[in-house]
Amino acid sequence: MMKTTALRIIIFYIILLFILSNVSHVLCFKYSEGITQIRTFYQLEDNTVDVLILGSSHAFVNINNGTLWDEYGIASYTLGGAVQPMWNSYYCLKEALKTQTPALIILEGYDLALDYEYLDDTKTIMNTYGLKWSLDKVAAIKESVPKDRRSDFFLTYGQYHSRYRNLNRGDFLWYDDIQVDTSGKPYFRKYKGQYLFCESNPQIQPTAEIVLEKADIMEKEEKFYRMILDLAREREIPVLVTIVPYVSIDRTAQQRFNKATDIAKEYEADFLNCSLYVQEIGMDFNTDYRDTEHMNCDGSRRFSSYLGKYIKSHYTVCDRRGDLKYESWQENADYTRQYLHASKLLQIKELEKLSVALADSNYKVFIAVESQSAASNPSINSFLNELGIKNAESGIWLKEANRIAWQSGEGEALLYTREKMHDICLRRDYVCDIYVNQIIIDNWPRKVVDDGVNIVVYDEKLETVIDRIGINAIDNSVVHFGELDVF
Amino acid sequence: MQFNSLDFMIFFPIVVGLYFIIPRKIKMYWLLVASYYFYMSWNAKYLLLIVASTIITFSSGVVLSKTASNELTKRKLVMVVSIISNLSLLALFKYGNFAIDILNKAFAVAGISLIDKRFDFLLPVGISFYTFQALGYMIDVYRGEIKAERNIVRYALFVSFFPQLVAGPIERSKNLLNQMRHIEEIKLWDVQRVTSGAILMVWGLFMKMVVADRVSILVDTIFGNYVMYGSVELILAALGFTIQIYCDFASYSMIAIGAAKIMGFNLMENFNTPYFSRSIREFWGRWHISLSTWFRDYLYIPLGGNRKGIKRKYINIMIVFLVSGLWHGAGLSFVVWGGIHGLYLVLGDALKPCKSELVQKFRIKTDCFSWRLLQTLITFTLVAFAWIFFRADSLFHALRYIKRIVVHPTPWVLFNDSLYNLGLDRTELAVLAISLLILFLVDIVRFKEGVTIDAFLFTQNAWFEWAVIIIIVVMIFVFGEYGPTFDAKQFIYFQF
Repeated sequence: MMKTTALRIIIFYIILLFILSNVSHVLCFKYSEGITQIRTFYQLEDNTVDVLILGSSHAFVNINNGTLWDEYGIASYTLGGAVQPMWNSYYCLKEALKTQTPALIILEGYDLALDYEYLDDTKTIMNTYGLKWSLDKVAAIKESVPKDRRSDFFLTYGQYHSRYRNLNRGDFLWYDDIQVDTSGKPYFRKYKGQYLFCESNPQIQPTAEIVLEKADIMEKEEKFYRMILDLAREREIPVLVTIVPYVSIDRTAQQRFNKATDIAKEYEADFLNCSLYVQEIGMDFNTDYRDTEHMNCDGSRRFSSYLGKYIKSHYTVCDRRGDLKYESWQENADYTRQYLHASKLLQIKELEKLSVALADSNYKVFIAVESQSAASNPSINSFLNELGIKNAESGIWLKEANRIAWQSGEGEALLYTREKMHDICLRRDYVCDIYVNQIIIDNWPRKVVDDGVNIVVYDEKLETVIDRIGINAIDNSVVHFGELDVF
Repeated sequence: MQFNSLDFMIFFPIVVGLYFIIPRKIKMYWLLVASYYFYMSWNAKYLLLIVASTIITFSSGVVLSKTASNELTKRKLVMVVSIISNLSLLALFKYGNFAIDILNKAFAVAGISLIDKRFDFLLPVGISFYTFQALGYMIDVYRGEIKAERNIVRYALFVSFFPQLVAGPIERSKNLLNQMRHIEEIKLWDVQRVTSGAILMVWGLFMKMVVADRVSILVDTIFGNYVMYGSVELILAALGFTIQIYCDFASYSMIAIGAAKIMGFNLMENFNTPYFSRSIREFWGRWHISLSTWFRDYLYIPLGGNRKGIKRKYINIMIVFLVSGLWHGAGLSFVVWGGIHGLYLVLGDALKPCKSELVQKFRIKTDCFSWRLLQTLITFTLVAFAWIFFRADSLFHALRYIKRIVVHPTPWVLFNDSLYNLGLDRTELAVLAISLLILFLVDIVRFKEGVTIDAFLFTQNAWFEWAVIIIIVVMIFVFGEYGPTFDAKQFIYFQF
């Protein structure tokens, strides 16, 4: 009787904990400004990372792991977080060294210029919540949060249980290749830490001023900076401290970087301030940046090409291309390349180039044409012909693997497709004596132009909608609503 | 420390864990230490008050036990001194500033500013509860209903037992003290009893964290700025507060009863589906039962009850309910609230013959569901109306609130999206609706089957029992109002 009772109690608690664990998995934060980087890191095979990158978004946005692999066969991983201060970098490093023995540590040093004693709650969560529970995680939280608030962060459920108000599809996609972070942005499950941007916004190039003075680094930052260098030295792993070029760099920051250079020398670490070498790197501030701090995919590729060359010429890092053990790095590089390719689509303004780009066999192209545009506009007619749509009048089409896979006939029509990240529907309805053609994504009608051609492009490799295009029948202008950075 | 706090989640398992394993002889001491620690977590220096109340009533009990039953004068003197001492503490800390305000308002009419200083101390949490509990014991000893307790530790534990210390139930010595006298005989390792206690605690947490704290957002939004709203919103807020105060208060009692049960003590039931009552009289038999029975036994009956004619009966009812209102809070609105309930009872009683006549004249069927439903709805409406006075910041605001319900109709609010701008969005309202449905189902079971949720689940198959508990626990974890972005609300009755 006692045994049966004990067994019932145990089974009950197992079921309860199982359910709570799954609920927790749905509700937990999935920020890709720190949490997904750490969680994906844990899935790596031991001792496969050759170059470990630590740092803020300057690291995990601007350093392109795909390019490092493609051009140099470098198996890199970016264990970065939003505004990752040195204390969080230190605990990430400690965590990483439990399962990895990299040939090189790259420490992105942007935070050395900052003065935060503590970050805000969200960034603290981004930098600590991905870690597995251990004494190091406890120490990381203690270091990141004032004493009277620590209990708020140790009880993780209390922080994220109210996310039931904002759940998205990605919270339920646990084992698929494409994951979605808390803000709804998709990322490749086997990625190596990089957060990809495709948007391009021209920036003012900072003056390449040589600053010789030095200024003190914030005490807490310096303490952990030294601890990182000390730990690396203890493990006999070389460290490259680097400053990725950014627009808002100022004199004070440069002065602190100068001080950081001296500290690095004490530990026989290299310091590479790439802000001073933008010409050599070939950075184009008109096209390579999304904002003053972050490069887009193109910019990160350019910068990483330079960085990879520097790594190869100064350190002994193996070329892992062709090694089956590093298949995921190859897959990540393929994904990153496809992302870059998709981002190019957003820049096309000419109809001829657009029709060529839309011929990509990886694309599913959803097209809705209004009758006025097709009938009276020769350029649009020609464009549609190139897509395989002959004698286009009002209607809806699906182009898949570079051929017309479906089209509406006369009368009302409906095509519904369920893709990984989205439900996409082509609808043709007869309303008030006219036919209305719509492309509906996740129950929202998405129209870019009222009179012309509306196109939605779904990339089957990236498994997400990458662009919504509108071609205006009046002036043939091409308008893009890039979906890669919209979430 | 509140029951829905992290501190209590750590405190309780430690206390219970040690309670289970330490030798029987010292269990009482351990619970007393834990109870004092629990009380001190609110405000350490106010422990002196509870100790003072304990010593006064304990000593009174001892003196009474040594005084012969025919020494009436001496016995009465001891009792009166004890009552006055205890009530003085209560009066000073709870009603001191209220009395000053009343006096100042009275003398202000003559242009005199009587007292310009106010007492500068916080209301000691639970003072209304433990004072009454201690007084109840002392009166029971006086009446010879219970033997005086000679063990001060045991008596101190009775007064300060942490599960019911700060918000009831107000226990009777005949129940709780008697159980404590047999503490060494309690069979601790009783799986069903412990499970039962745990279920009650979980259900209490659900009522507090999922229902009460959620509906309070809507209530606070509207009551906090009622001049901006019209009839529909104001009625919704009144109904919301009706739910809030029930869930808040009943949840505390539920957790207290559950916690005590785990340790082997049976506390009295404090709430029994009050909103299914068919009359105000029945309502007071189901709402805050420990307080209403305390007032019945220690105030109403000593005043004469209904034994001295109809007029005196009505006067006694009004006295009891005005005092009850005052017990709830040092403010005119509370007194008015109590007075309204007294009036309900008096009028209900006075109009009974008239009602019977009307029922007969119009041949209204009274043995049917529709009649019972009507009675329940009317009772609920009367109770909800009275709660407006309880919740409003003052009597003036309560009256203004009620006036706005009448003069500012806004029925369209039910049909546009305005409901989602009252503090709870669509998702939150949906969660609230589901949790209210669960609450309703549990209360219906209690009402119809006469058993609490734990007893009901034990009569079901294991899969159902487990499913219900798991759903409630998961709902607490997911939908409970807690976490760093949540401003933890005290249980409403802590302010009394």
